Amino acid sequence: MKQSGIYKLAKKNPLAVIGIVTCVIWLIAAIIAPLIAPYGPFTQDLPMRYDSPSTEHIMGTDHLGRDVFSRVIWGARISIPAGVIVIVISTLFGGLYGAIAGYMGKLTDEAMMRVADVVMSFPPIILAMAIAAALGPSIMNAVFAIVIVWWPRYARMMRGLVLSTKEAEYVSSAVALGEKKAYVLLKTIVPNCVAPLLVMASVDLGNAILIFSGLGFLGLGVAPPAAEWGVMVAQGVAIFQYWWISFFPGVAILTVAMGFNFIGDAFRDMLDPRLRRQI
Amino acid sequence: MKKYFALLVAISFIFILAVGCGDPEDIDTEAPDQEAETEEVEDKQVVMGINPEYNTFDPAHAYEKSATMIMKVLYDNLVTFEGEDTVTPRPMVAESWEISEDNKTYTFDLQEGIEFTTGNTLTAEDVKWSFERARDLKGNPSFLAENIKEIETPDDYQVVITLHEVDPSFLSKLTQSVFGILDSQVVQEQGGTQDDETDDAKSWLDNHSAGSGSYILDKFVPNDELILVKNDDHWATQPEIDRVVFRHVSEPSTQMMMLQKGDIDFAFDLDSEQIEMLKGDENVEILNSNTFSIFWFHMNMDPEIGGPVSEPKVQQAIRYALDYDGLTDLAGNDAFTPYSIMPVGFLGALDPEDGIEQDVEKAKQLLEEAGYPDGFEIETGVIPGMAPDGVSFMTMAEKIQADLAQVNITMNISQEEVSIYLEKYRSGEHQTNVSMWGPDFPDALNQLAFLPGQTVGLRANWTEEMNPELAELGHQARTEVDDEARKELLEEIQRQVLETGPYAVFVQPVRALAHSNDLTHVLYTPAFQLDILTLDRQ
Amino acid sequence: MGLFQYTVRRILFLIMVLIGVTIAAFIISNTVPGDPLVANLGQTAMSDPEIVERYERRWGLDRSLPEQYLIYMSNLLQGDMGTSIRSQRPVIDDLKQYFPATFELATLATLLSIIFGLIFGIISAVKRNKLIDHFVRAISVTGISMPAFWLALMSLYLFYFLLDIAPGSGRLSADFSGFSLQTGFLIIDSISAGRFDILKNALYHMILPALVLAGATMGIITRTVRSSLLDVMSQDYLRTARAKGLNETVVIMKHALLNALIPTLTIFGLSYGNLLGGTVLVESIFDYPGLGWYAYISATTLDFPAIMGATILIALVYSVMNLLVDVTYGIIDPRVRY
Repeated sequence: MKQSGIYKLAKKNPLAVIGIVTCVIWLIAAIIAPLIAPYGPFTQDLPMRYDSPSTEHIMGTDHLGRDVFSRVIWGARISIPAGVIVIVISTLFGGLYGAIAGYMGKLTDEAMMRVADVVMSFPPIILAMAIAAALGPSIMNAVFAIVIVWWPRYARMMRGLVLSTKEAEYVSSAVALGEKKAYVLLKTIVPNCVAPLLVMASVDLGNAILIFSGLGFLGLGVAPPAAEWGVMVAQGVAIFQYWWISFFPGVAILTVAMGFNFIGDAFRDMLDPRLRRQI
Repeated sequence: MKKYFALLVAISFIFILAVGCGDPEDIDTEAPDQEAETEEVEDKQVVMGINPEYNTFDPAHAYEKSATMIMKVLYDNLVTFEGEDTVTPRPMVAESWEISEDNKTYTFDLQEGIEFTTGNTLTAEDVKWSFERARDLKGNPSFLAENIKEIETPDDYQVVITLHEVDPSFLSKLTQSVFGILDSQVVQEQGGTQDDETDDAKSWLDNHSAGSGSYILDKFVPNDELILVKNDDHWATQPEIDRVVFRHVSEPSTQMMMLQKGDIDFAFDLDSEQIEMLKGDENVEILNSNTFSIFWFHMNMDPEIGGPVSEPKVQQAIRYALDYDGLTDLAGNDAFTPYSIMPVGFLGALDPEDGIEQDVEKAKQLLEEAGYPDGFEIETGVIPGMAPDGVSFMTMAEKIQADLAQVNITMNISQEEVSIYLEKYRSGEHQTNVSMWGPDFPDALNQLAFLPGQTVGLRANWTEEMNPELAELGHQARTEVDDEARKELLEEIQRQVLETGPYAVFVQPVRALAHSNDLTHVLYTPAFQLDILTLDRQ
Repeated sequence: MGLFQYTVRRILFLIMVLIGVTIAAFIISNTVPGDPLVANLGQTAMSDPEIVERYERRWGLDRSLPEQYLIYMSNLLQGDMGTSIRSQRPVIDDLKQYFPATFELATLATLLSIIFGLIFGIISAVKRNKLIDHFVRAISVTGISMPAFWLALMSLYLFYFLLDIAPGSGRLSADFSGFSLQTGFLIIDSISAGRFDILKNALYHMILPALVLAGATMGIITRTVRSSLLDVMSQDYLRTARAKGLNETVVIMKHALLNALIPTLTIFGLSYGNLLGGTVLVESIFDYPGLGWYAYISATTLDFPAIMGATILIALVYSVMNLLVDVTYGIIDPRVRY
């Protein structure tokens, strides 16, 4: 029975399955990186510099003779957790911020949301770049910079949910029955917003990883010798006649982001009531 | 469905058409403008691919390394170096000169009848005005003129310069772009003054030249392109190339591709690996040039900041721990490790063969003697993404990191953007860092900055009190006019610095450039880089 | 509320947000840990207190932050954004030089992404859950997930180096390097000078970076067109139209598409930000001298007058774009006004 369920899903939404499989593979790779990487991520081998892909180094070696495959695998341990942390913090902070704004209403709401508007009037990578540059390059600073860019969209969504629920009849009746309004809101809103939050978070995860690697590429992320994908792509730019140095880390970014996007898309389709209706 | 398909095809078609329009052959055959076409055939044009740091061509401000070769053809100086020589200044605008007994007063007789590209005549007054402006605007290169006390012009073609202090390298300095002679009348018309507060001419001078040089600045769009056009009426030299275009191409790999495709004639910023790849290309010629730059590992002498690395034994251990062969390999193009702070090519530079070699056992032993058998942790400031003279700071740092790990020293790289790095470096706040020094003017005296109490020494908090004898040797060398005596002093200084200095000098790069093989008479010198005046093409 | 009032309200709102933007940019550029003054002065110039002091006075660095902000704002209103520490030129001149290049590029990328996004979206919706739908959706998600800097690099290598069908770098080939710009917009300048060879050459140089930039936006538009088309198609009046026996294509083109365009328009305003942001990552690889490149270089050299100028301008363009989208939206669909 179970098998046929997966089969059905695969037939109806093959992309979601591809996404899940990709993400699971990457997660496993990240967890058991030391076991599957044939070389250490920092092991230099100068005579083997710029070696093209071969049986010994299946993705070739970089400018210090380090094994690109091993570094790509280890890279999953930086980018994926970084993306997850960004999304978790943004969701929590943005959600709380939006809930407070929506609950307080009036001037507080107005003032709080204008701040969110200001943040949202920058293209994400521009603002993240400026903040990361000002703070100096490090993983934590990059994560922080992306969180600053990211939280307003969660705040907006949460505020919308709170506003629409606040006036709902069952809330006012519960309040009339003597329950605290905040408590009621919490009780009704939390279950209501889990689904949309999940969709948003899974779609954004791919994006967050993209921006994170973008900062790495610009030299505003992780310090070498850390194996971060964006940094690895950047290291190949100076010499992309040796295409493998940039190519494989880029593929890693692409597949991870794609995996999360496929899953996010499938979530959205599932939860979007309009689309569930068959034509 | 068919209709969508047709639409898709139609749009793809439009798209392909758009791309097709730009087909390179199209451009060549169709480029219609007849006048432009015929003109281009007669004119000799050279296109350079460069990732330059220049941003101004005002002699009082331009100080960037890549500006040197351009300033040299835009402005004439009193004296100049010829070819690869950087020791004997030769007459240029000054026909001849005399130096007073006390070595403080220089009297120059100027060539008569030199015209600026603006048509005005170059006189002693222009020299005086230009030099005073260079000194008083307080731009980056102004310190080169700081020593000038007074300039007199007894007549239109004589200039008398009096210095505050004796300076054996003064004539060397006069060859530098800061002493380019401006048409004072035109610059003043453009708002030029001799005061930083009121001077308005800089932005004009960034886009125009007001000199008497062999080329005229035709167009400068920062980070895009720079165009030089030949000055047909130059009083002395007539170069072969009519038009020189410098295109901004930031990535070495793009420069290499463009060179191979013939889109540029000259690639300035290739790294050693690309040079290797280009060696098989018969349309490309490789050119190696010495540099006067040195790279070293910088250690702080202040125990509070440096910790273990402030101890002489530890410093010596680190010098023994480095794999110099590996580092020079990574620097590529026959780079080598100089003896110490004096780059090969300068007066008194000692033979690199006699320098230090890697000896991991000795390094470990020294560390044990210093009380660190189990090593320690250090932080090293590094600028990412910069590779002056083709040597990447980060690559060097990553290699040093691996070398130091062998003697149990854990090195953490702190990635710092240029400005942050420089601030920490200049104020001596780095525990250690990977540094580079290119001399301001081609003279051995530059390197005295590494001594205790001097510019670079102080960046390691190496004060004069810490080593007064060495500091004194430096003072003597600075004012010694006799070359032989100076040489001996410089040699002794190098020996002592290698023993006691907070530096592990590891690379003096050899810069490699590549150009298409129809360029001829390509001369590249460490002091002035590419000599545009001799360049020709078949 | 009428369209006019709505527009006025939105413009007032925009001004308010922009003031916020300047404050944000100002705060960021002042959290820089390094002292840009020290870092940008020459090696020897730093030891001269007179030069240091003069610099400080010139940048207002010796005043308090709020004062510095007010100085900056009052100058900004007079069109003076200070002098870039790195380029030593007025920031406004730098922006004037770099902005047109990016605007041209972004416009072309926009056109490409709308064209492809529409086509893919329609196909995908019409053939829902068929193989071609999955295929098109895979392409659009790939576009969204693509690291732009990597795609730029790979396409330059492939199309320029290996296949030789795209140009190397910059805005024009070296043969046209003497062409002097009047407005800064190559397309306008070349047409007004009657130099169609230059126009062609400029487009030729733009096409690859534009395609790379268009990737993500195209993906987002495809997705939106698809879902809004599906939404509209399931509605009753279309069922009626279909029941009347109208041709399926006519139904989609005439009825569904127009309605589906409205949400697409909104999403376009938002994804324009991605497009502008992408220039930061892409322009440096193509050596395309535009605003994205300028913003990046200024950020990494901590040239804060320039960082402020660039981020404020980019935010301004982005906000104005969204304003235009919203007003257009208001014209098309009066229901949204409030």
